[in-house]
Amino acid sequence: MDAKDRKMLDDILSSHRDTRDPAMLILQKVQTSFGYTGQDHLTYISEKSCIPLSKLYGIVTFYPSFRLSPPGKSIIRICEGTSCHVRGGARIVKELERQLGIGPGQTTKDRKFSLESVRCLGCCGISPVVMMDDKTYGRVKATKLAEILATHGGE
Amino acid sequence: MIVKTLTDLDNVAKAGLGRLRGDSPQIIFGLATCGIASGGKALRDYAERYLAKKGFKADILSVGCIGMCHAEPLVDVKLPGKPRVTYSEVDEEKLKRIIDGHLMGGEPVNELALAQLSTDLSVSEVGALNYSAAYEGVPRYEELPFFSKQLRIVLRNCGVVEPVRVDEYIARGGYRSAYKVLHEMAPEEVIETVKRSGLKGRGGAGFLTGLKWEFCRKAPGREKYMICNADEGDPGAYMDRAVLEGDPHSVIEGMIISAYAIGATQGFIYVRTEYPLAIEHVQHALRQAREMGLLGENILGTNFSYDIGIREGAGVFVCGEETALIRSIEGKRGEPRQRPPFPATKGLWDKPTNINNVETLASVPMIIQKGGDWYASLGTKDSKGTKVFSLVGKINKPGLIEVPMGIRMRDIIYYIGGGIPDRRKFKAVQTGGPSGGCIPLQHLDVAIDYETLKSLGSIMGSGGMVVMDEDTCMVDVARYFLGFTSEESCGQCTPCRVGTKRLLEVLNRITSGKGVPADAELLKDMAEMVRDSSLCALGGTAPNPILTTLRYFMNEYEEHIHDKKCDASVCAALFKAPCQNTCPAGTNVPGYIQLIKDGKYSDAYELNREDNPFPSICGRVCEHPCESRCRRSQFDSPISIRELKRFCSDTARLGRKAKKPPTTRLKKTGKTVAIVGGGPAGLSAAFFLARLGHSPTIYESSGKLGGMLRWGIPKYRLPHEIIDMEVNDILELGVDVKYNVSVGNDVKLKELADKFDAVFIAVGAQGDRRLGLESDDKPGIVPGLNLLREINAGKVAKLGKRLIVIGGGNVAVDVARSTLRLGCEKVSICYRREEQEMPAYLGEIEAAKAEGIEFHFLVAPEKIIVEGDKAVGVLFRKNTMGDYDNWGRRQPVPTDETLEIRADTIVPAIGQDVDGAFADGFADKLIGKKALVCADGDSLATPVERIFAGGDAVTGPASAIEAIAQGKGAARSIGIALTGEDRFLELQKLNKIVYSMTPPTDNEKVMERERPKHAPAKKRACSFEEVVQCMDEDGSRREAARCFRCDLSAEEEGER
Amino acid sequence: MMPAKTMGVKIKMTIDGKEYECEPNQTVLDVAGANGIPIPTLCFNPLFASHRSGSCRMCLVEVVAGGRPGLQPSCTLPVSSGLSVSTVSKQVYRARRLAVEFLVSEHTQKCRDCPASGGCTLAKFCRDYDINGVPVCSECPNQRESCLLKRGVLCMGPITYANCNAYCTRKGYRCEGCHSTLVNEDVLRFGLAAYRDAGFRAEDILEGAEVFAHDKVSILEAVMKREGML
Repeated sequence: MDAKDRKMLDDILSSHRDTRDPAMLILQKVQTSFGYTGQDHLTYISEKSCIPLSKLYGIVTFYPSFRLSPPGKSIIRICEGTSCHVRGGARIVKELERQLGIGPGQTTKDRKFSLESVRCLGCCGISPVVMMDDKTYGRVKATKLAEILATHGGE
Repeated sequence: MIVKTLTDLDNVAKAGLGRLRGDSPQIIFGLATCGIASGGKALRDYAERYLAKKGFKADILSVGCIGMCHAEPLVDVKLPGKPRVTYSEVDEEKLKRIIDGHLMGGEPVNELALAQLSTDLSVSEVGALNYSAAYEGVPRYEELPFFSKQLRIVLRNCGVVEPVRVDEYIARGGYRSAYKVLHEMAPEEVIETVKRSGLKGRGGAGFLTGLKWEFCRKAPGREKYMICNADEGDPGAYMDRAVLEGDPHSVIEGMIISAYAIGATQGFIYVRTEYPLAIEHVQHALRQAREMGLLGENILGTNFSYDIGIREGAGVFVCGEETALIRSIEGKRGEPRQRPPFPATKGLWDKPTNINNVETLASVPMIIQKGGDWYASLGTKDSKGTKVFSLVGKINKPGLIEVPMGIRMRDIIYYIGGGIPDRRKFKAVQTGGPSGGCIPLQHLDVAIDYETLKSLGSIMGSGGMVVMDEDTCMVDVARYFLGFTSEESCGQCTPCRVGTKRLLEVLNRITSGKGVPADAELLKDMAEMVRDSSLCALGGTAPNPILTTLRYFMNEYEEHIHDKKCDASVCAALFKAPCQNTCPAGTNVPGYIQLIKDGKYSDAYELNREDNPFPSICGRVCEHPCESRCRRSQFDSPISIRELKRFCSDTARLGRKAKKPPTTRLKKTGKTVAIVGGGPAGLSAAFFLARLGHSPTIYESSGKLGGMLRWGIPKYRLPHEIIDMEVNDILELGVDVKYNVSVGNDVKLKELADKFDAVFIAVGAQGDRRLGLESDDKPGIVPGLNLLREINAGKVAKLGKRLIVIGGGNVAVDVARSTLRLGCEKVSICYRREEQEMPAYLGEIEAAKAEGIEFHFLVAPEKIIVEGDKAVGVLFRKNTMGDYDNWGRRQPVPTDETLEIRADTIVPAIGQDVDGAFADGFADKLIGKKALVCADGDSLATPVERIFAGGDAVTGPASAIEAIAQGKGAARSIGIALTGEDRFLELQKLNKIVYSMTPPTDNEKVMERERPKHAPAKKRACSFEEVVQCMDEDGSRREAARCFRCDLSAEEEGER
Repeated sequence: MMPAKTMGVKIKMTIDGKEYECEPNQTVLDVAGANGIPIPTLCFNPLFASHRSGSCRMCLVEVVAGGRPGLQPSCTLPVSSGLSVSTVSKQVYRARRLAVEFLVSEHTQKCRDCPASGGCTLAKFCRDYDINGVPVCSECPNQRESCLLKRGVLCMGPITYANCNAYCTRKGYRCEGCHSTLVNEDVLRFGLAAYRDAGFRAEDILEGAEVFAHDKVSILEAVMKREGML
């Protein structure tokens, strides 16, 4: 962690100085600012805010939206909702796993993509659904995946 | 500006209403998450560029979701003083036409328009958008089946107002209920109104909202909290997202009213982090509300103060449970805690807390506006008002709908949702997400409310409705949900943490083919105990998917456990490839396709013949259920499996290197079997019995073998030489045939039973059903199957010039096409339902149309017109489509209109019955329901010892491949009965045909499906030459190369 | 047990058909404890009596009247006037038994190496709720015996159920431990590993099993083959 990072963390901490039980809010902000909540961040926050490290650690391990290591450049979220499941979502997962060579929760070696599975993206009307960073793709077909990956992989 | 008085509200409303009514041309984009995902944003950018280029000034608006997810992306155009017109499934090309024609040209593009919003969909009286000047030729919203049964209270503004503009919300009556409450009502009055409305919490459990408020109001303490639960975690439900994205102020107003009623000063909206757009819109709305004095200190000029913070969930399902949600807001791990104490007395930071769901809160302003009694007048006895459902899964028109409580499930699925896609059969609908259950066909007529769903073993939940069709395996569905709940279990209490895992293990065992008979009972016991002893609702409801599937789909569990079979082709370990699994005869489809790909056509033919003695015949007339399940169809289009079968058969048997197939068989057993009927079932049984070493004798009442294959199918579909060829192959195995012997007349069944070791009855269903009208046997009326038989026998009947066929099945179409070939000038098919309901094969219907057959739909014969002693025509009653039946087909309902058609010949082809004459002496035991022969579904044994039965005689009229499969099954169980052992496996070892087991690597790209050539319609319509041509070698090998070889990946999965 | 601090109006509630007087701030578990009615607990710790998570579900009782009917954890269930619960109903027994079963199913059952051996509550519950799958050798430490295997005695404990009636290798009379060789393969594997660690030969193990549980030898053999011991 360099001075810039520490400055960012200080800012986050000071913005929640007056909030009641701010641990969760702080960590969420760290997550959005850094893309993950690393060991360094947790230790630093704990020291500065007097929130026990065990509590912070308890939170980040309980809620799956926290990441303990830096993600790839693009984050792919595959919806595993019921509608996606009955409309062939599992095949999409398999195809993505095949093309990227990683499973959900993993990051490619070149750190370009992280694959994550989520419970439901709430777009059941246009299932199966895949979300690339903040862009949602509906009615995804296995044939379309390579194309989608290419637009996000930057090649 | 700060809003304090009604006049202030009116002033804001004026601006909003101007925008809503549209003083300048508007183009409106549906840009909720689903709209964006469907490409709505790109369209908006395109429109901006296009309009700038044209120099045309129009307002470009973004609204939320109107609910029609199936029609996304949606674009509306609104011209001043005219109703808004919605265009569906818009792309850039269409958008250009819409802008040119409608936005700039002034007239809607009728052929692209979906509907016009001329009457407001909302029940609110304020700011309603109604237009007398509707467009001609564009349907109105309320005329669309998707909307006609809807009643929009919660979704009143969704897709109508711009969610980022508070003035539009206020123009639609917004914040007036809050004003009324704060200025004119005591908190107790508010609670009383909500109690009277009967509103129940829409989050799932359905507790009375008014009562909940009262508990919180009465709880001691000065500091109280009012929280909105927007942690919509149920997979398959997204109404909260739609409301927050499309109409966030309605929720905020509901929260203000609730906070006032219970005396809260602070509140939170807890939104899941997976909904970034909803969070953005809520944040924006909160800011607006604060700026206008609608939140914060002294709301609307009163001394009531309340403010709302936003908290993001972090991807944990159980945080939707209120005690877990509270802990999460407290910045802790979101684990639920034992109640009591309830949050109403001890909630957030141990203070009295009220938590309501988004949908509940969005209903509240309307209840205040129109009164509790008005709301209570909607719905059923115990469940009032409306409910939003997200209708998703295997449904034609997925989307978000709001309907009154008490609506029938059938109406939602078939009327609003447009039924099941791809002519599939409905299987179940899952309500309530992972906490709910599956509701089967037989309960589709229940009036949906909290109580009925509970009595069916499911729950209302948040309103997700996932429709499942025959391609869904219910055991797999249970496994899917348990996979979900076992992962989402917070791990605090034993039954949920360990129990869901153990349940999942049993389900995994069953779906991987390792289930043991005790498993069903074990599941039930364990599931009930987990339900009864868990700490929170997650564990308490997690077993519901298991319990309901056990209750309604026990047959599927049994099939998985005992037969190790998954009919839906979902459980990978239980089948090789979906095509093979779907084929009634279990033909090794991937195997012979591989052999064709490798150029080994004779091997391919022989591999076919391992399971089916009639590859050449099936290559022509099979209804190929295999193709409908081909995995390739999810990729581009299914493999032409039937045409490949035809190609390998024709090459192996008719080509230059044609040779006879080997006649390998097991050693003779000396057992004799009489087969009654020489149709596909009887012949197939003879084939397999002979190969198993038994000695079959066929009793055939006509002079030739083949049954329905020969007499019921016209020669232009199936030439008789092909039948002769494959029938002879069977006879050469050593099958005796007694021609022209009718069992029951010439020889009694009793004699056969005495003389032979076993008897197999396969008499088919060949008796034409009569119309059941007066004079339905007059000259001029010729029953369909009878006519086909004569034509096939070469006895050409005198038919005249004009002919009508009554019916919609394959026989009807066959008759029509055959008589056209015999010289009839005009042939019409008259069917009582709509075209898509016709049971005849799609390809046949299309071919008939191409040949010039006329079709009349929705007409039912009412009277035969008789002149002299001859029938000369039929008076039809015109039908209209009524309610849906259990198969999702709409029932025809008679109208006042009639249609008279005169004809020289009238052919009824409305179904066939079994001729029971064979059963003389055993009729009471053998003939059962619907005059069909009784036989056990698996063993095909009849109640009479050593007598078996199969084919159409047992199933009723069915396809050739089903009859063949029945013959095969009968041969197997007769063999077991005669020798005490199953020698089928031995038989399969005789011809070891080897094919490549290397999966293809290069075919995962779009490859065109090869189609066979058809003889030109004009030329073929006057001859009985075969219509469909065999595909050529190159085309066939290209087609074979498209196969994914699912059988290989299934083996891989099975190993894992 | 929660000390009765607030001495106020006493209320009456019923446990197993008998009426008891109690303080309004007590829970059902407190009342039962004060009156000597046994209710098993695991997650409840008297030292931290104020923290009651209700998570182990061992203390479930069935509310018969005066509350929401069904199973409730007695540790958090507040008493109320007219409340009637059962601690012995079939439903209660089934739920508690299942909870133990679930806990055991997640357990390695390496009781010999466990510091809790001898005073293990879970092992006691297994006996109370008649749950199979616990080897005889978990009994030995209860009797303050050191492990026979470590002393070089071929004890059949690790592969036999408690209460099996087999003859004990040491004492010569019927062990009150078990019914037969373990049919639960997982436990069997642990037992076999213990033999291997102690250096016993496969033939000896089989011979021992032949004497004590001969009808199940084939199963044992199959597992040993799979484990590569034969």
